Amino acid sequence: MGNNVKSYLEMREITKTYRTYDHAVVVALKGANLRVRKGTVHAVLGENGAGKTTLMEILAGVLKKDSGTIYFKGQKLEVENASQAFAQGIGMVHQRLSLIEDFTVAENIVLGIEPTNRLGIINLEQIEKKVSKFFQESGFALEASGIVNTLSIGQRQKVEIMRALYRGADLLILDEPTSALTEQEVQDLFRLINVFKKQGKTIIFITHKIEEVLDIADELTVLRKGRTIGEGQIKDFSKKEIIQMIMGEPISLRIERIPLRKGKILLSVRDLSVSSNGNLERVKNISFDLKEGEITAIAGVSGNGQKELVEAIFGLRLPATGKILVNSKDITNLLPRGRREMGISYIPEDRMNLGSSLKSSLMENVIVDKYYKPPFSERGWRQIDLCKKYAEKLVSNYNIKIPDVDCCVGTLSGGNIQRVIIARELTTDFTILIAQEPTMGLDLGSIKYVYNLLLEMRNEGKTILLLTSDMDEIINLSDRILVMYRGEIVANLDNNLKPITKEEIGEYMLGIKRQNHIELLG
Amino acid sequence: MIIPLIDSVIYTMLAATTPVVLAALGVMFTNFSGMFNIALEGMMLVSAFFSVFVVDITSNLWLGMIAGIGAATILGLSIFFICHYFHAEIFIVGMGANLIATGLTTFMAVQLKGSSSLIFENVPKLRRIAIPIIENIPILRGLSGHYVIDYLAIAISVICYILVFYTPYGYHLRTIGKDEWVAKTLGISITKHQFISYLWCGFLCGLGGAVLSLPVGVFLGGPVGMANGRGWLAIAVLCLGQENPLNILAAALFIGATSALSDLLQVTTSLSPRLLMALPFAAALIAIVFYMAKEHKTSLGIKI
Ligand SMILES: Nc1ncnc2c1ncn2[C@@H]1O[C@H](COP(=O)(O)OP(=O)(O)OP(=O)(O)O)[C@@H](O)[C@H]1O
Ligand SMILES: [Mg+2]
Repeated sequence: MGNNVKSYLEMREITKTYRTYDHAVVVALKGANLRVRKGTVHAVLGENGAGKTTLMEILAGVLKKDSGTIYFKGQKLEVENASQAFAQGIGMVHQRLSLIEDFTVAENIVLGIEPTNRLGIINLEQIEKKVSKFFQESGFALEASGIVNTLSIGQRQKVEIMRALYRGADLLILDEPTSALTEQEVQDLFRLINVFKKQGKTIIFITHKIEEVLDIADELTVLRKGRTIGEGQIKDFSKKEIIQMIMGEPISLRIERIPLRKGKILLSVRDLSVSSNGNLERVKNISFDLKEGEITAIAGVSGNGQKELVEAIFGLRLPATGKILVNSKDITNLLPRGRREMGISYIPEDRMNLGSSLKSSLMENVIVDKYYKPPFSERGWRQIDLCKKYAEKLVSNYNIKIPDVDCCVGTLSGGNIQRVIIARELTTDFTILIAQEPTMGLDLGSIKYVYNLLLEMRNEGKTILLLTSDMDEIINLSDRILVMYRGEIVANLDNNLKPITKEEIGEYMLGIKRQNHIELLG
Repeated sequence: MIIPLIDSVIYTMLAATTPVVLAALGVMFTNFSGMFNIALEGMMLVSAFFSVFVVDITSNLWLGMIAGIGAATILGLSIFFICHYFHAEIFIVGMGANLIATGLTTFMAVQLKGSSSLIFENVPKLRRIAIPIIENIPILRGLSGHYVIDYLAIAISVICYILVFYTPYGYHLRTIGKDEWVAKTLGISITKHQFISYLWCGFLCGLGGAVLSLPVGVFLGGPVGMANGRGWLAIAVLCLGQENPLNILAAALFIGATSALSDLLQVTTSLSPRLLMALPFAAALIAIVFYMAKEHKTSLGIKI
């Protein structure tokens, strides 16, 4: 039968069961099917935990399937590891970033296929030149010699994408490559995808953003709970129908935000300057205040100092000069725990490294910021039962898909890890929330849930500092928008006075416009 | 008067550096591959025993060296296989290997010659190699007259440096140590590299053990043993040198210098020799504390 397969790629009845060390069993795929035609962009959609990543990792040779067959280019495909899949022409951008943080961008790009001279020696300079040239040609602004750990998550995603393109593949799998990219960057990516398509190559594209699907994809396959529940041509569906198919119900992200009376100042940043590890000044003399009952967004193209600013506010990096005050108390020299006790809560953009401990259980992950306080510990003893109940409560409130709370977080799907972090950070007595890419990787239903929660907290009088690459999120949620450009705040826009448009923010983001001192005071 | 003293201090420093740097490079490879081997002490010990033992039988120094390397490698690979196939905890297995090495060599020594410490009278010994010209220059003189393994150790450090930073092998190895997930997604075989890293570790600790016993034709068994804490010093050296073989060499030279200082003070002062013998260990501890403090500051973005 194998040879009468018409599709370029056909995955039939794929099943996969995960067994964790503590013998929990998760059936991730229960017979999923996927048919992809050559030269198309094929969207694979589904809610968090539907099995999209699992299916793709099987295809890319990173995971082994339990049963089912894969036909690729008319042949049965059997691969043992990622390099064999790569040899067959299958490349993948993983949802969980796979970059070495202390290597440079260029080193990461060539990792695994390093060119050498006759003696087997690598010439790094030459590689950097080649990679730089490649970046220029593709129109992606990235520094080939930059160290990855100085990059924001959005920039890292770009590196991953460029790596896959650099290596070249006939079939390119992109697993949520855009979750931390700005609209402009997404457009750049789509341009590259179209070039790729014209060359007769095939792309599988996973995303939770329906606009992107409508924009770039030709066909779609929808997974739910490990099964394929729909497929077809994009042009046969409306946006509503696609959402309905993915989530099982219609969902709209439109939310009601009623302006509140301005409250008192909770956090002030005064004349703050922060340097990166390379001692470059990344934040230059910034001052702003966050008030009760206000969502303040910081907009900006990634790499304009947002990362360093947030790290300084939360105490992960000491500022070069300036002060940070909470309720008029100086917290500039406090460690992160001290800052948490002052009422700061933090959702980091890097959910795998900073946001969670992948090798620890869910229970440990959700109490890690409060395990030492009553009622989680009493007189120096940890109250395990209570912690467990607490964790179980969060699992049901935030609808986290996990067999039990002792399972380690590393086994969860990307969106579910994000839910764990959100659950932990929002279930504390905080007054100030720093939310970096809070909805990264979440499906529409959960995004809606998080939006409502954030608004609810704002209405209770908390203050939220929102940093996100999603312009709609900024415009919908925030009361005030600060725009960062090259380490400075170049605009202070009140979103309640009159609705701010994307174009307006965009001009400030690109440094085309800049407010004067009086306007900046707001 | 002072110049010969400096000569001899430099000489002892280099000699003391060799086993430490070799073992440290060995553990560096296992650290890269994500399977940190703490059984350096044991691997050096079995090598010290089997190399001199085989020389005693065959009267051939090269065969002795090969036997030492072979013994250390076998011990290393047993650790690897036990951990790999039975998912045992690497530190426990490493501890066990250290204990077995002490027990096995002492037992064999007693069985063979009736004493835990063996002095082989008539075996050929490693010869000192003088470097022409340098051997006549004061102060630099201390660089000359070492054993072949001493020179080899320096060369190996440089070779390792190139290997680690300038070859695909080095990149793949470091990738595994930093993030196994990345290695997996790129199709870099983790098991293969772990296996190879244990071969390296066996080879290097084997050399490091042979350089203890072959020059003198002596084996010291018993609880302290011939390795005498050098395997642990090597781990300290790795902490200081991190992933750079040349830094590891520098750190080992530092430890070598403190050993030389300790030797010097033992003959020139009336301080307790037992206390002075602890000098390299104390120096290693203090150096690590300072090093860690500095690391912590840089991670917070403080200029130093
Ligand atoms: N290593 C693992 N061990 C155990 N269970 C796992 C593992 N990886 C994934 N799972 C489970 O398999 C299911 C499918 O996960 P998968 O990552 O494929 O989802 P997904 O569709 O990519 O979701 P998301 O949109 O959140 O990325 C989830 O329930 C997840 O918890
Ligand atoms: Mg996924």
